[in-house]
This record gives sequence, C-alpha cells and structure tokens, in this order.
Amino acid sequence: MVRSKSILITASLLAFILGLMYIASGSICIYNWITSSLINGEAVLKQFIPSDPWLGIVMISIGLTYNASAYYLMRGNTVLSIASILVGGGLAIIVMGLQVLATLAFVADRLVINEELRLSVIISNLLRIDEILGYVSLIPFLLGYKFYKEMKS
Amino acid sequence: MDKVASKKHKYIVAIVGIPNVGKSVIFNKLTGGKAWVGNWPGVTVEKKVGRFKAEELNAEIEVVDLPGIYSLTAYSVDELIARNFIIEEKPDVVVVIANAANLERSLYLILSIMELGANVVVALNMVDIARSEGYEILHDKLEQVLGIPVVPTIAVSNVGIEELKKSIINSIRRKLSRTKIVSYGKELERIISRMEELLTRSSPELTNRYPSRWLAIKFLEGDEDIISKIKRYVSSSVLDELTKLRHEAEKVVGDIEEYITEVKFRMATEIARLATRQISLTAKISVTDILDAILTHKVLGIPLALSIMYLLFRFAFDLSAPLSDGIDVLINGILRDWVKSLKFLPTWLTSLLADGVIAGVGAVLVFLPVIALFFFVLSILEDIGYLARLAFVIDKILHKFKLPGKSIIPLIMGFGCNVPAVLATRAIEDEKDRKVTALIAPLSSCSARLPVYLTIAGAVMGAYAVAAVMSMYWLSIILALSVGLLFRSTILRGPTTGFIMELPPYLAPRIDNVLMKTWERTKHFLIKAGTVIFLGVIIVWLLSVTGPAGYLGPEALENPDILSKSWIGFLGKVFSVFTSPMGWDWRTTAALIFGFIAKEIIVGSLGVLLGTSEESLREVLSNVFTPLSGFTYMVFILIYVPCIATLASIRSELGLKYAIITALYQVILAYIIALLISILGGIIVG
Repeated sequence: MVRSKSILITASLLAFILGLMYIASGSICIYNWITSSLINGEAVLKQFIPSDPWLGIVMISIGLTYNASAYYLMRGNTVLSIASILVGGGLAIIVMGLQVLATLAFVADRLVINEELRLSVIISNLLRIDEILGYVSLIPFLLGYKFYKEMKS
Repeated sequence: MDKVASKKHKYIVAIVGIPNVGKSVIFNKLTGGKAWVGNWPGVTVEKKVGRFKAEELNAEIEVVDLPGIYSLTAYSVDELIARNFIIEEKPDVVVVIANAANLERSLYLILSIMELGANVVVALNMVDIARSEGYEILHDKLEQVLGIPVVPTIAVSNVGIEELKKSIINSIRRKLSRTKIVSYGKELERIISRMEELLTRSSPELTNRYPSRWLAIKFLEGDEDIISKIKRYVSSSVLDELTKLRHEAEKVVGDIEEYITEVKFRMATEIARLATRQISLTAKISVTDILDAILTHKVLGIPLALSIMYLLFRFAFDLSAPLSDGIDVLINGILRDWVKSLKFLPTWLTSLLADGVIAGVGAVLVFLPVIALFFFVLSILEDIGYLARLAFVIDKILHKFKLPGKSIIPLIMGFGCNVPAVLATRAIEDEKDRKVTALIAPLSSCSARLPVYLTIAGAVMGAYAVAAVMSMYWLSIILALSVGLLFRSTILRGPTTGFIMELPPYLAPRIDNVLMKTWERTKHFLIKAGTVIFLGVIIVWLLSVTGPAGYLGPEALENPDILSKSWIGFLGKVFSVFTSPMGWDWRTTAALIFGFIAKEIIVGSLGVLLGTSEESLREVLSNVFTPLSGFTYMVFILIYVPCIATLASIRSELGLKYAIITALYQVILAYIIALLISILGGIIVG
C-alpha cells in the first residue's frame, strides 16, 4: 500500500506540473488567436503553439483536470485524485493521437491533390505543444492506471 | 406430410427495456442482425423487426424491437408506442431486458408491463458488470418472486442468448399472465376491484381488449389516453361512478399517480433487495465510478464536455480532408471531364450532366466523409455511454434557457446534419421540450453551411476569415438557446422537465454497433444527395438555361449577361428588392433561393451565377461582396429557412404547422439580424 501511495504521489506531482504547462499553453493558444485573428498582431511561439481558441479551451481543461489530482490528493481523496489523472491523461493522449492522425491525413491529402509535401510542415505538426505534452502525459497516465489496478485488486 | 401440417406458425415477440440496457444487441443476437426497418403507424419513430426460427414449434418468430422506455405512461411518444403495441398487437411474449447492474429501474418497468397482462420473459443483462461491482443477482429468486422466467445474459459476449431463445419458446407454449403483481393497499384495492366490476359489466368490449385492472389503475392515475378510451365505451352514469371512486381514492391516498408510482418503486426496491447478494465485502471501484467522478464533476464536467465536443469536430474535419478531396478529384475532375469529352451527346445533355448533375451532386458528396466521420465518433460516444453524461452535465446550463439537458444531443447532431438532429428529438419525453428542441435544431450550423462560410470568408475577410467562420458557430449556439427560451416563454410555455435518465455504465464500443449507427445516420445524407439535391441541381440548371424568353442554351452558364435573362436572373432581381439594403446583388440573392433545396447548392449556384469556376470563385466574390455584406450574407445563410429535407423531417415529426412556423421564424429572424448587422456595421465602419 505504501508503494502504491508513492506511485500515486509521483503521478499526481507530475500531473500537477503538466497541468500548469497545459494551462499556460492553452492560454497562449487563445492569446495567439486573439492577436492573429482579431487585432492582426504577432503570435507567440507560433511554431509550437497554434492560434486556436478551441484547442486553448481543451488544453486548459486538461490542465485543470490534472491540477485537480494534486488538490484531491492533498484533501485525502485518492479516488478523485486518480480519476483526475486518468481523465486528464486520457484526454491529453487523445489530443496527441488526433494530431498524429491529422498529420497523416494532411500527408494523404497532399498526395491526393498532388501538391507539394514539405517535410518541415509535417515535423512542425508533430512537434506542436499539444503533441509534446501528450507524449509526456503517457507517464502520469500509466502510473495512474497502475495505481488504479492495484487499488481495484 | 400434408400441406396443412407443414405450414409454419408465426409468433410475435416484443423486446422492451430501459434505454442503454443492451436491447439492440439482444435484438441483433436473436435475429442474427437481419432486420427491416419501418415506422410505427402514425409517427415516424423507427420500428425494427427481425426473425428467428423455432423448430420446436415449427414456427417463425417475429421479433419487434420496441423503443427504449422507463415506464408505460402516456407522457412520451415512445412509451405510448410500446404500451399500445403490447395492448393492441398482443405479442405472444414480451421480453423485458433488465439491467442487472441497476435492477430497481428495470423492475419498475417489468412490474408495469406485467400489470398490462403480458406474457413476460426477463433477460437479466449485464450480470458481469453487477459481479464486477461486488454483487450478483439471484435469478432463480427473482423468478420465484415475479413468477415469470428470468434468464441471465451477457449480450455483448453472446452469453445466455440460446437460453433466452429456449425460454421464449417455452413461454409461447405455456402463456403466463399476472396482472395483480403489485398490491396498492386494502382501501385502494377495494376501489380498484369496484372499478373493475363496473368496467367489465358496462363494457365487456373494452375489458376484452384491455385488462380491467390496468384500465382501473390508469383511470385512477388520470391517464388521458385511457380516460378518453373509457369515455368512448361507457355511459355517462358509469363514468360519473368511476369519477366518484377516483375522488374517493384521492381522499384515501392523496395524489394517486404519485402514490401508485411510489408503491411500485417500493416493491421494485424490495424485490431487488431480495434478489441481490453481495459477493464482495468491499465494493470494488468501477471504471464508471472513476470516470464519472470527473466527467460529471460540477466544475470540470462542462469544460471537459466542451473539449470532447471540440475533439469530435476536429476528428471529423481534419481526417475527412483527403477523402473529400479524393471524391472531388474523382467526381468533379475525372468523371466530369469524361462526360464533357463525350462528343456524341447533344450539347444540352452534356451540360445538364456535367454542369448540373455531376457538378451539383459532386459538390454535395464531398461532404460525405466529414458527415460519416462525425457520426462515427458520435456513435462511439453514444456506445461508450458518454452522451448520456453530456446531457446530464449540460442540463443545468440548458435549464437556464428552459430547455432540458437531453436537447444537447439533437443540437450537437445538428452540427453534422439537421435531419438526424430533428429525428433525435424523439428521445425527449416531454412534448413541449421535444417540440422546442426540434424547432431550434435547424439553427445548429450544419456541415453543409461550412463550405459557404469558408468560400465567402476566404474571399472577403482576409486575416479575419477564421474569426468570421468561428463566429457563425457561436452565433448559432446563442441563437438556438435564445430562440428556445423565447418559444418556451411564449407558444410552448410550460415547466421544463427535470433530468431523468439512466446513466449507463461505461462500456467499450462495439465496432459493428458503431458502424451500423453511423450508416443509419449517414444514410439520410446520401438519400438527400440522391433525391432532393439531385432534383435541386436539375432545377437550378433548368432555371439557368431557360428564361421568360425561352431556351437560352448552356452558354448561359458561361456568360453572366445571358444568365441575367434566365429565370434565375428574374427571381434574383425580384428578391433583390428585399436584399439590396444588405448590399447583395441579384446573383447572390438568387443563390440563396436555391439554398432552400440544400445549403450545399449555394456555392455551386454562386459559381454558375457569377460565371466562374469554383477555383476562381473567391476572387470574383471579393468584387461582389464587401467584408460587411459578406458577413451579413454568412449570417443570413446560418439562420434563414432550413433545407427542404429538414423541413420535411419537422413536418413528419411535429406536423405541417410546426414546419411552417420553423420556416417563417427563421426567414424573419435571418432578415432582421442581417439588416441590423448591416445598419450597425455601416455606422461603425462609416
């Protein structure tokens, strides 16, 4: 049980840090959209963080869910803490997977319409902030899942 | 063997159960997935019928899938259909699918159906989930208490299906009926018996059709459908006597309907307690508990719901691009060029096929992948059990607009296509809630409107194009909620029903189920493309190549001067009297007329009317629209009259009156808002 608890604490700590990064990135997504679409200004880190308000909302939601894990752990509610990691992590992985699929679809589309396919675009698509944070999210998610399995048995 | 002896018998089995209990899976397992779909008489609620053979009876058993219901009141279309079927068609067996993981709710339905005098077999489904939650249902105990066969099943894994078939066959052989399953207390029972006597004596015709005890209970409950039936059969003196007995019952128990529901629920709970055995001392935490703790959380639930909806749309739009472009290349490129190269065809026929049918229907078919993928993910969310949670989470917000949480599902479906959105309102029990949701569903910006936004915003909005397109979706949501509130406060006034919905356990989606649902929903779009839109593009073509002066020839499609002399030109000029304050000319106005057939036609029509190909349409549009007039045009397209297929769905669901109301309110609202934006925008821009 002590070992299980330490898994949860590690997962929760990682989720908290990732949560803050998601919230910051999501906020920049919204900021970038406002500056580039509404006031014709300069976007921040536009290579990595897209101008997409909806993606911003998704990232902030993931961030809040991740942070809820630490909040509930501090209040002693392990079920809600683990639930936050699994839902936040699951969503983060879905976002990451979707971006991979969207990149593949982009490649297929270029081939269908016979247009130039630039490698730089593919790489930047795969190195977007939602992608990178999604890869990292695998760690708290798997740790959380391990804890859930132990808790269930 | 002689001919008579070899003749097969036919028996009817009805399948009923609360929503999300695995009813469709059991139906498919029993019938081998072979079903034909029709409509219930008088309504457009889908009726699914399948068959299986019973060699033991030398018979063919027809299985009818009844709508998912919680009880047998007269408050919802689905419940009325189910109970009318059981009463009128008198199926040989009614199979009630019960949820072993939440037995009380299913037992309430079982008791209600038994009171109807049906020959009931219970399929106790999801016994595995109950076990994983730390308890098991003693089906033999349940059988003993209810006095009817109970078969444990795990439908998704095919467990218990053969046993269920055998039980159905046995029940056909020896019919069982226990109408007096629930006792409502000495005083009320005395009144019920007295009413039964009165009804049997005064109208044997009625009591031959309906169980007298059930009629008496429904009369006491104030069931309008049954009261009107009783009124038709009995004399006014008997009716007075029945009413007196009802008043007497009210004095004894207070609100009779509430009392009867309470007694039945109490009995359902007691039976569930008797038939449940805990097999694990500590209740295990299920995936459902874990996920629901966050997905239905009072703070996190809403942003997570919005996120999941965003991912649904992104999946559909991002992944459909290569498929849509593939269809475009195939139809508008290869096929169209091939038809144009057929020199032996007359010019008019080549033009009709290439510029009319192929260009028009092709412009629509390119949206098939986005719609199919949208419904694919929506079906997955439904199968997993998330859509029920979404309705639950959004309920609080929608209640502020006097709408029920369940409205969210049709409104979201509307972003894919308005037709299935209108059909999805069937799941809303309250009639007024259902009507208002169907009336506002066409305000959801369907995927057919998107190419119009993209074309116009891309042409005239420059850096603000994305913001302009996004604003259409926000406006769509704001308008749907505001108009819903307006209807709920005026013509459809009344209390909004609370959230009553079983939250099913989360289950892994079944690919066959998901694909079947996706196909069922996408089919509407394909049928529309093959019928309404096909006809629409031929009309557009005909009106473009003919005019008051007669036949103008296919050249009209290439030459705007000739086109202005066509019927389209004529209509556009007539309607531009109204649209000129918004800065739209006759050609853009004429394109709107055809949007009534299907919104997808607008882009193609603009191409024809402006004498340009779709590739150079944006360039031409930038000379036709200013940013302001382009934006008001997009707003008008968002709101004005729904397409003909959506109106047809509203007509079949709610009647002609509501189809007319929808068309009228949307045109008027679109005009007012577009005019206001024009005036205010004009003042701001100067």
